[in-house]
Amino acid sequence: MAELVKFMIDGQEVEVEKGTTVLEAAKSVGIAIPTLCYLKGISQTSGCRVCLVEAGPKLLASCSLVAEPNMQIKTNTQKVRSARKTVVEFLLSNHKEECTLCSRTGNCELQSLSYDLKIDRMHYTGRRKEVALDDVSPSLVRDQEKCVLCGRCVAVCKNTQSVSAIGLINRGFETVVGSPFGRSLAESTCINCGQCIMVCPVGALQERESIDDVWDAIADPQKVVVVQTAPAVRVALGEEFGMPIGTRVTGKMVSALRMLGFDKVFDTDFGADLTIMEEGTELITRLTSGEQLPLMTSCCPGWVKFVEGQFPDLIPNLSSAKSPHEMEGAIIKSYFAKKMNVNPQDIVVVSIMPCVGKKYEQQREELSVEGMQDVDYVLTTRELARMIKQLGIDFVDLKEGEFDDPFGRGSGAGVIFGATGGVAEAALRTVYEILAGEELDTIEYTAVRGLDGIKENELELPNGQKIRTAVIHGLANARKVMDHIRKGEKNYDFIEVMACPGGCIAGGGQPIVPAKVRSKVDVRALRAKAIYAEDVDMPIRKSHKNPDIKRIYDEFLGEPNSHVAHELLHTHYKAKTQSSNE
Amino acid sequence: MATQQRQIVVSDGIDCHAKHADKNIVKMMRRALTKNNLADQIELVRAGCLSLCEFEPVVIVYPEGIVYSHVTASDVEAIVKEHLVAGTPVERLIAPENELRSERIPAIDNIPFFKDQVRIALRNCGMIDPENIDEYIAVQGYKALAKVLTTMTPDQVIDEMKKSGLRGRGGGGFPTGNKWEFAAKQDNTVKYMICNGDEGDPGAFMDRSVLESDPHSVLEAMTIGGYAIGSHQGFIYVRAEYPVAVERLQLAIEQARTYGLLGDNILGTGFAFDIDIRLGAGAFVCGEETALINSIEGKRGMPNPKPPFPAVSGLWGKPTVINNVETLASIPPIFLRGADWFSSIGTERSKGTKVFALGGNINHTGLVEVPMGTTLRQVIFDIGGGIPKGKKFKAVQTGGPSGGCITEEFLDTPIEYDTLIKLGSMMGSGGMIIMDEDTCMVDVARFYLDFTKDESCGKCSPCRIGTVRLLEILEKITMGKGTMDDLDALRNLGEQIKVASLCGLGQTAPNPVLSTLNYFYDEYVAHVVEKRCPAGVCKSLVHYEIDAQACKGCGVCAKNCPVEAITGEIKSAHLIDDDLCIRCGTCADVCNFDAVATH
Amino acid sequence: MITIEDLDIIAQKTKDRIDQSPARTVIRIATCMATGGIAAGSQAIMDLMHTRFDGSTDVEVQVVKKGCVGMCRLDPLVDVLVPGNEKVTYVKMDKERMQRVIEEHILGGQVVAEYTLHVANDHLLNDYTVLEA
Repeated sequence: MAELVKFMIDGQEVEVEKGTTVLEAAKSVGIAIPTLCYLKGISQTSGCRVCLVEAGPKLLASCSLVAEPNMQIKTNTQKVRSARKTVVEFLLSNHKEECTLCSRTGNCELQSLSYDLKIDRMHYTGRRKEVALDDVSPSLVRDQEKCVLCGRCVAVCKNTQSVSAIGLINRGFETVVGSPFGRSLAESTCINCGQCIMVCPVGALQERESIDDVWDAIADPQKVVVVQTAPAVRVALGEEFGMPIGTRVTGKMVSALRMLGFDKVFDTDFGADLTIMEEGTELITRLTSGEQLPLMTSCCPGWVKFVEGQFPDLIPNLSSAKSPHEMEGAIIKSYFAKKMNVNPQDIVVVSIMPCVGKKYEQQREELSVEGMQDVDYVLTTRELARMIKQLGIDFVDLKEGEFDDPFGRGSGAGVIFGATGGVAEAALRTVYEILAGEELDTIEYTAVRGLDGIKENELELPNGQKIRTAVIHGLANARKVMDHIRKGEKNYDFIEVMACPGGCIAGGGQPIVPAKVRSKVDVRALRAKAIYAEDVDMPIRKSHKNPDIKRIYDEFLGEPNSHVAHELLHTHYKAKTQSSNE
Repeated sequence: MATQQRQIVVSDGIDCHAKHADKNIVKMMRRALTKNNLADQIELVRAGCLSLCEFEPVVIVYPEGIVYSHVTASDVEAIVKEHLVAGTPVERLIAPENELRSERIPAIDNIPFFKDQVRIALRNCGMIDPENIDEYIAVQGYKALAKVLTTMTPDQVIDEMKKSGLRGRGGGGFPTGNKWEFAAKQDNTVKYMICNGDEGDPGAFMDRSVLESDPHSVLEAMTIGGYAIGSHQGFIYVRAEYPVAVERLQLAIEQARTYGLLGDNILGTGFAFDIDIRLGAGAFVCGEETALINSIEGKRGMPNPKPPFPAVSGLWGKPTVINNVETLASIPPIFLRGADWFSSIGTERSKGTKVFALGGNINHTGLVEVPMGTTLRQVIFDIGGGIPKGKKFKAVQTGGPSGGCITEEFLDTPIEYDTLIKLGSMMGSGGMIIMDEDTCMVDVARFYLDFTKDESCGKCSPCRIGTVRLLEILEKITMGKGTMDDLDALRNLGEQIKVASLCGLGQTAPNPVLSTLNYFYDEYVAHVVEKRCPAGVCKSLVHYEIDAQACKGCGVCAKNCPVEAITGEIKSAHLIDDDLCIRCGTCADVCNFDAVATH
Repeated sequence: MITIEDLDIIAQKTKDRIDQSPARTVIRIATCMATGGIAAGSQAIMDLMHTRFDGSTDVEVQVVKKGCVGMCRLDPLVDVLVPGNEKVTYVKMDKERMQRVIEEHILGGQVVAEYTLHVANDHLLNDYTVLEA
């Protein structure tokens, strides 16, 4: 039994576990103290001063104030209200007044704060900061003039990702969030994961949009515009239309995509199955030879860039398999083009991804065949929602549609790629059966599921051989494991890494959940639950059992890791030299 | 061997205020020297204010140092003929002893400046060689440490500190003994002792002086503190802009280590303590404890919310005591002479002495150490020698950018932590800026806000944005564009920044504005309503005009005006175009007939 | 590694060095080498002292740095302590003035009065500003 602390909030007696903050304690008695810089589990710098409460003669930030016995806290005095109001007015006085043009309008924490605190007049106006937009990165755009310096992006980049591509620069009014030496994010250690976007309370960070390019392509009669959607998109897109977190909207999404004017709607699950075939075979080869172990997954572009920049010596351990949507793009522009008798140059492949890292990945020159990019545009889940809104489609009431052949069918193994542990589980489902030569009884490897940062598993094959697997999400965790491997303190055969905590379901391109909601529900758990429900409902749950996969190997690729497969489905990596904030 | 050089110093008071003096004294003196063929042998100097206004014009003849007062044209001739040529001082022109006491004083310690000082923290400054540990030992250095380590338990040390009543000299005034006690109570094997040498108030240099002049006293006190709280590692956080202090500290640490006064088994007692130096990059905010800790940890110098206080969770999360340099320098004498001795100095709630850095419009700028409870008037007028050029005292700013201005009516207030706070100011680290009648208080507030807004770390919004908004309103007022609403806004804004800011920097940043608003409201109103700067400082509100009666039409002003704002025919009165005028004041400076007036 | 007894021994041994009274036995010249002094040019004075007195055979002089007494506007300050005489503080010193002090005071036994403090009615006359020479 944990030690309890009893104290008073607004005349009510509150009893909470020792170590609880006043902010959390207040919540337990129905008082939602307004916050801005605070984000549960990510950041509590107490810099914004919105969550001030009266503690004795002083006003203190409740987000960092730990409850102590007999404290007398007042959250609702004139002094508190007027201080909070002034603080938000200050922030507004230095915030770009472009609410009607901002992608975060309606989902902006500053906007709701201003409304909630009844700010209807600006008492203090003056100079605003003027800083040029940083839109050089293929993934992210930073608008300092909207930034409220809450520090959440800095915290997530440093603590969750151990990347520290950004930090606070300059002092006082001139303070900005930026990369070392004032360079663009594109020239920093940024691995393009976009977790900073997910924590930004305002519109200071967003993806670099490609909506207009895609509209142009759709409007071009010359082009065959093909769209594919990643597994994680279907369990989050509904949130943009007011549906509960964790709602599965696969069929509605397909219908909407068709209404937007895409010529073909494919499922990236197919590419995921292909990845399992290629990567799984690679794993078997390495397990047999015992060389270049552990094999590390390569489907997360943020993780790949992290290895290239921070652990270049471990590049040989990365699987050479392209990521699923890149594989699918390459197949669309070869196999599919031939089958449909279309010039691959006229095919435009658009990937709907839960990710902004994919925008960076899309333009890597390694991911092209004969000067033609495998994928032409990457849109985030948010961008797709915006396009649907642009057309006035009533998404919630849409009928369920079906993906198109021949890449419309994926296995349950492909779907679970969207959650941390999914790739490992999918790979093990296939690799076990190939190596063991027998069908699995239970195919659900629960040991690699869930939200623990580092999950370890040993799978014993019938011949007694063991596959030692580690599943990691969040790059700070990955850094720990990589340091162990470098020092030879840990040995694994197979490692799955997803840069974003929770995996793709919580990727940098997903719907942004405001801090208020995040403090109440675990968004990642709800979305992951939906992903695993998709898996269960799939008729086929192992990649190598997918008949469309079998067909493409029969008709086109020959066998996994064949020469053709290597040409189209595999890639290589480059060590990167970068500066770092740390 | 050179004979002693003769020098004639003439102070005619013209640069001060009155025009009672005859500027020609210098000219006449020069002429007389030439006539008597002395021009090559005697150096003639026209001096600025000597603060002997009531005796001016004054002529001093060196090397004898004889002061002639109320010198007239005919006296000049006599001084040259009788004194300089014949060698006999002109007795009849020398003021009687009871009116003007003039003397040569060989040792600096005997001048009035030191008479009312009590030196505890500065006891060794300027007396010993700071680079020689033996000299420190010879003035009973490390004796207090020896006493503490061999005859006292840590609890007794803390009790003694509490009994002494010593309070932090860096700003907050928290009782040092209690601070030590909090840290001592923490059940942790690793604790830290930090010396805060991040002196940042404009014009304050007491810590620098101690570190440069008596570094061992700080090391000794830190070791005593380490013993009291159970720490074995200390850090001195000192500004990199203090290279001499850093060098002396480094040397002192090496010497102490060689003697075994730092390190394992200090003085054979088994107690281990060592000290390292950490350099600050010159951020004012790093004087704040938690920002300082972040800086030592290699992070950006930004404060954290308190609680937790450093004594509970400080450097690398360990219990940490942070004491200011001057606080530490005061500690060894407490253990040598006893807490009772220390607490007998000062007042009920403020014990001991405090060092002040006197600056601004004061005759004796410099460092002084006085018992707590000394009045502001004693410090400014008795020790500080009063206001130069016979000007009137207007206000004294204490506590640096965090403090406020105190007016004439409160000059007899004894200096204590609490009395200064009551007056809307604070002790701060001990900066004392004296202002005379020519100071514009709105401009003073603007100056300090300009400083704090630059030094705000940018973490919390009230300080980051609020100080800029405050400054913007002040600038508007000094430009003559302010309204009465702005005065209310200043007050509201200031109060909000005080209550909402994260650390002491923001919480005190509005003090200079609020205290000047309090005491000099009329001056603000003059700027806002009459569009007038009473002190004639705010350029936008100053207008230059040529007095047609006095103007001889020489054209010098027009020739020197950088923007050609002055027109007029030669030999007739000139005119300044106020729209073109940039208020540089050149015309007034160059006019030989005092015809340019400001209003 | 010293003991508590050693502290007393060192203190005893060094007592004469820091003695500011006429009872001291060796001449000491202490120049303010805190920041104020250095900024006013005291390094040149120190250099001169070392050149003149290090290993000198005619007269034994302790050449030392000293810290700040708080009157930086009169810097460089130089204390001259001659056995049998009261301490003399010279203000606003430079190399040339110091040369004279060496000759007249250290060697000649005559205090150079014009470099000491001149006080009239509690006002220091040494730190006047020069308007014209």
